[in-house]
Amino acid sequence: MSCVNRNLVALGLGYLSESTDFPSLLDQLIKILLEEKGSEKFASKYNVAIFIELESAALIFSAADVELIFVALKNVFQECTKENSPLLHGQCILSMTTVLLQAFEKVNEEELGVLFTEHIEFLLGLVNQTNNVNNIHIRSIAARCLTEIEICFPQILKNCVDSLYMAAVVETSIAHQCYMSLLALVISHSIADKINETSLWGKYPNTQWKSNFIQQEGDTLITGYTDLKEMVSFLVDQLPLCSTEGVAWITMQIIDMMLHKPDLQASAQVLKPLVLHFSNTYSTVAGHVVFLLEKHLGNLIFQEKDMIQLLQQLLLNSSHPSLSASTRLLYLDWLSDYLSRRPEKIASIQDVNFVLPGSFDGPETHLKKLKLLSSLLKNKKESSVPLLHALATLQKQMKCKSSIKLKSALIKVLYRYLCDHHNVDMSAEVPRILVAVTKEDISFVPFVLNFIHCVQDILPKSSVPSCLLTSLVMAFTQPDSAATLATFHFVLDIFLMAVTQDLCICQPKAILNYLMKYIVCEEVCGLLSWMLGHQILSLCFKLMSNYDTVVFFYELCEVLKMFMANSEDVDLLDRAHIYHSLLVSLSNKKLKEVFVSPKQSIMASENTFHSASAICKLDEPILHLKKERRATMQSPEKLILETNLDIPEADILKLYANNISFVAQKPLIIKGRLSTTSRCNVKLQPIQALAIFFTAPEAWGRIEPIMIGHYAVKNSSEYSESPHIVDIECFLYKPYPAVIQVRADFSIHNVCHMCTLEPLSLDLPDFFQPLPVHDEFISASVVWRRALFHSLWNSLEEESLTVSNAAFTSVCVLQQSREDLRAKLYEELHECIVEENKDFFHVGIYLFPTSHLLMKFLFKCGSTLVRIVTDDVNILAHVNSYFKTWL
Amino acid sequence: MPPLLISRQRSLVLPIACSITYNFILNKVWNCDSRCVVSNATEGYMDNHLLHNFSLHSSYTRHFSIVEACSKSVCGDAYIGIPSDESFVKALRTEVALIDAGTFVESRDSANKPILYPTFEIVLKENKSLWPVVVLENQGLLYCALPLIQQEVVTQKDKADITLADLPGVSLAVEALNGLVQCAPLTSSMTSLNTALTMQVHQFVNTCMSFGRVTCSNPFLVSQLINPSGKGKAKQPLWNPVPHKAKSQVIIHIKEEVRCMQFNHNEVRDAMDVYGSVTCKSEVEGTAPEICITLIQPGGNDQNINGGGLTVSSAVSSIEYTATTSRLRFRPCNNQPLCHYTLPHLTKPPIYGEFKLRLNKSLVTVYLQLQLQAGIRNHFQQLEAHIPFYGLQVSIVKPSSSVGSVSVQSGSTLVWNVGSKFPTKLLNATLSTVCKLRRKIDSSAEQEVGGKDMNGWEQFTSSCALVLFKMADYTYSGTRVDPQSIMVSSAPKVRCTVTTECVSSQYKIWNSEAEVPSVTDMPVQDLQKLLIE
Repeated sequence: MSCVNRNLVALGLGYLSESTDFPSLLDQLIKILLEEKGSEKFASKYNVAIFIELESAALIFSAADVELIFVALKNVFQECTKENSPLLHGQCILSMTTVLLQAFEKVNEEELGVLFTEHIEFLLGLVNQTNNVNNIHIRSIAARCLTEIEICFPQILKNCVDSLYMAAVVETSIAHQCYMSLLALVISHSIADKINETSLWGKYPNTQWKSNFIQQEGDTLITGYTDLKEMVSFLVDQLPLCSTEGVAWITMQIIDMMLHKPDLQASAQVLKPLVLHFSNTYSTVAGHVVFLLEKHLGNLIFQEKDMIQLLQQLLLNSSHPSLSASTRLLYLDWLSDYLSRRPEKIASIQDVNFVLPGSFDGPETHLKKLKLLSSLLKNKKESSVPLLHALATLQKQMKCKSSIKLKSALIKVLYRYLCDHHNVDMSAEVPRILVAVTKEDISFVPFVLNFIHCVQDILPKSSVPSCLLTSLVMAFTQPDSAATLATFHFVLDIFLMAVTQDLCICQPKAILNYLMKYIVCEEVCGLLSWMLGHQILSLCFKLMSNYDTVVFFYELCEVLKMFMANSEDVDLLDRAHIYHSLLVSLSNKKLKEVFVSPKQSIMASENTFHSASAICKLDEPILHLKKERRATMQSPEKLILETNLDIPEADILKLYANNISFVAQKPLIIKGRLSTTSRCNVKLQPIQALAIFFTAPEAWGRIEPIMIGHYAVKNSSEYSESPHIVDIECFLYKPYPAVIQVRADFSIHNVCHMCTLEPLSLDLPDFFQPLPVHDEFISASVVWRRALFHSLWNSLEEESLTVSNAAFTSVCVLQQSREDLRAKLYEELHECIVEENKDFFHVGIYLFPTSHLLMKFLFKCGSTLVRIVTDDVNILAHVNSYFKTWL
Repeated sequence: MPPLLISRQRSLVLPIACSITYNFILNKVWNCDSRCVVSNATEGYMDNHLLHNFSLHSSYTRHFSIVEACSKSVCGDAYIGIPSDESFVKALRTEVALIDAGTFVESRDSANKPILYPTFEIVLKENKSLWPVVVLENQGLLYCALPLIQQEVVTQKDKADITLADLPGVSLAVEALNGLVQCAPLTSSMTSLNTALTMQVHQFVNTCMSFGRVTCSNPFLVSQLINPSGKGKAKQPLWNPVPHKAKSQVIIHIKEEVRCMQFNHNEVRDAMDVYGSVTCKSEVEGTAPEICITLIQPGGNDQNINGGGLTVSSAVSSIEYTATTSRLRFRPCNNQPLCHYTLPHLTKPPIYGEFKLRLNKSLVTVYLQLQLQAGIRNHFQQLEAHIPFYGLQVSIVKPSSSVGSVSVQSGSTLVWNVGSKFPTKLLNATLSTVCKLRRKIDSSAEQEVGGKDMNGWEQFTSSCALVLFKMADYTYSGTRVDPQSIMVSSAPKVRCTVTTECVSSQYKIWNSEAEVPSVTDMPVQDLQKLLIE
């Protein structure tokens, strides 16, 4: 409806666009047509008639609609006869014919038969009014409508040919051109042995018309073949009175007749004046007439000088600066066709500048001219050098202006050159040019890669693609490569394509060394986009899956390691981790097994396609990950008494502050134990490429995925496999208890599996670490810790008295017996005890990454007083919960 | 044998594109391809894409429903319907590289894409495509037509073997679009057709292209075709629907254009073309009158003798050449060029120029010297030099010119108006000025060029100065029509007027201190030798 509305608005009928559907719109239109006449209504009616012609397909739903429109338009036609408005008259006939012809596509033809017959008789009646000065335009339009009907229903006017001829002879007004066009078509159809059936062919029942314009069966005049030939001569004689387009239409009908009836070709010379008349023209229609005459009847009409004249005219028009580019390009196309049909005429080109691109030519003309030149020199020896030389202007223009059209033109020309002249010179020069241009302008890469594909398709044995790709890889792995981070994706595209070829082209070592040095290095790697990072890893993947990794093992390892060390993106790190783990833990053969999915033949099963291998999601976990208990010390290590450190308290804290900033960057390692569950029924099958992913609350921090290349389940029958102890690397922001979601992805039988494991619960004690020891005092760790404990205690206690909220103190009483508590402290916090005697214990705990929990246990009369100092108030709440577990 | 003539248009679109926002697209291209500075594309075709910003809406679209039905029948399953205007324009913009201008688009740029200009294959959704869409560019607007063609060609997957010579519909489409250009003389600043113009186009299409079949492509005959004369006993030609009754009059106008590329480079040869067109407006008596004129060209113009280039309208029935004259016999063809000529032997430009542009941070020093060749008439209606800095804001710091005035147009073009003549004695004029440049970030914000922002900026040195001149009653080549030689077959006495003008067209002087987009010599002799072999 939007298109309909636009047409309504364009025709000044926008007020009708409110009609919600086509039937109501049609009613409105009919109403306007049937309104009283008047000059102000003329424009509306004319616009409505145009609109009906434009949208006839949308407006017609039934034979009733057709009849309604038809009656309304005919009424307008008859009503306004006296107003002498040929424009409206003509439009009414056009619209009526359009509606009728359109109706045959949509409505049952039987319902239209009568209406159609009436309309043809009406049109014939108008055409029959020869030399009526009052309706010249209307008769012209009527003849055109009949032409349209003849096109849709070939030979429908066959019986009218004689009358049409008479009308064309008698008519002196300009309507005669339309009469002649109709006559030419009817004659052409009449003498054709076989006519091209249209979609409407056969839909109209050929009833007997009443018009006296039609030759009835009983009439004595039956038009013969000789008469038809006479009619053709008449048409040729009258051509000077027609417009160029009219001449073209009639001439093409005559050419068609001559091709169908070879005996008519004997009189082909009658068309010679046309050749002489149009041989110097720039008009595309007239030019095409001459061109078609040469093509189809050239040997009969054209002499040698005419041939040369045509060639000169084609050359002139294809490069004439006054003509529009469209016209010149069209003439270039014809010139190309002419010379391909008549190669002997190539030598007649007196000035090669006509086909050489010039400074004023744009990409399209460059392309067409160079393509033509290439085809002209197709089988000539030593043509490669001048052909390539002819590219110079295009290349120079590209140097001055990076335009997509110039690039497109250059690549198409070189492709054409290679197809037309696949010799040694060209095969060497084309890659050289392409590499040079690509080095100059890296955005040319997609064009070159497409060129490689196209050449591989059309010239499968050509060495050009491999040579080109090798040169490109070499060029872009040099230190002076023009690529920047913004344009590096182009270089990667080259590498990725090279990887799919062979080892000589791909040069993996060079590529990996380049990546190591310039891309995944510390300075650049962090700047890589997510997409670019994945593309680099895809390249690594393809190298691992396509080639023997022994050749470039070190380089690939280094690239992956550098990626792991320098990238900050979790996705990229995961992927690099996986590849690295697989690369170092699997043999080359197994690596291929993991990477290369088994090839499935479509032919394996006769009638069905194999289902694509998908991820198998397990409902129940077959793996279990739990925290490994911390090693307990049954007998406390005897503390060595050392002398006090000779360092002022302030310096201890300063040293410690420096130390902690390094310590905090490392991950907190929690030991985990990985085992299979009872659900695992693949005991004998190794689990490969196992990746365990952790999802922690965002505010808490993150845990690195665990990658295991090969997980073998041993002693499956007894179900007592040896434990897999894994390091769970936590990078947490705050040492608060958390529940971590765990997921495992792995491969069994080359099928990717996925399952959710039981959540991993991390509690406060899991984060307990003894106070870190400064490197300088590693040999006096006990004394250092004690001194540090006291310094920290004093500092935090002082801090707690201020309003800065940087430290907090608390006191609690534990009601356990002294012995029980002592045992518990040894069991749980042994590593963190910094000082003890029979009355007290001092415990200093470092909580990753920057928090501390300092406690002084004082035993008194069956209960224990615990004084607590910390720099994180939330820890106090968790400490309370922790002590409750001691009860 | 398929029918020879399928000359009907499935669709006409007029015009596709509207409004020039000169800097916008240049800016866009600047951002995409940092090397792009100035379009040296000089043919008025799609490669002038730097100049236009295309609206998504076409101003006028006309489908012929009967032809569509015919197309369905011809193509069968291969039939592709005409999409909505928006989709069509979008796809066309991609195809002519107005969008995605910085990236590789396979459907457009693939190396094995058939080269069938001026037809384009417009790729629509779902891998469908419309072909052959004939595209014609005029005044910055695109005019399109989709001719109906044979089934064999439509369904032919490999279009590499197709030649447009087999498709008369394409030639007719070019002619029809030329007619539409004349019928609705739009300029690129107009964004849509008004109702009156729409009606004018409708009248032209319905009268001359009813059912999509072109019967006459001269829009100036429309009103006469609707109300023709029919009283004569002799047959009235269609090209002269209403015989003139008053006194006969013939007005001949010669418009000569000079285009030039001067490089001032030892290794590169300058390029120049002198060409023109002759139009004849005639009001002469008689049913089928014929007019004769003699075109005098001092250098001669018979292509068979001296490699000249005279190509004529289809209205011209005969040409007789002498050494320096061409006598044309023709029927009236008002408002359409009677002939086009080109004079390849003229290689000296009327105005020599020297252009130097140096860049120092945000300051640019411009030196331009123009020297009128001796013997050229020193009287101009217009004489200007334009130095564009696309995508930049320019302000004059220190203007200095020997004659005329210097100003800035549209913010980014330095314009030197030399005046109406060169100083009489020296016949030369010099501009030496310093300008300050700023980079346009967008319309609301500007940023000074300097420091790190200078990256890629040096490409602006590879630019040119455009010289615009216009001279009335003068042709550089000396081409003229002797009024005494004008004869009309049906009238012994005719009032004759001959006017001439000479204008510049793409008269460019390149910065002699930068890279130039041309080469020393083409391998003319080698190629000529190969062709003869």
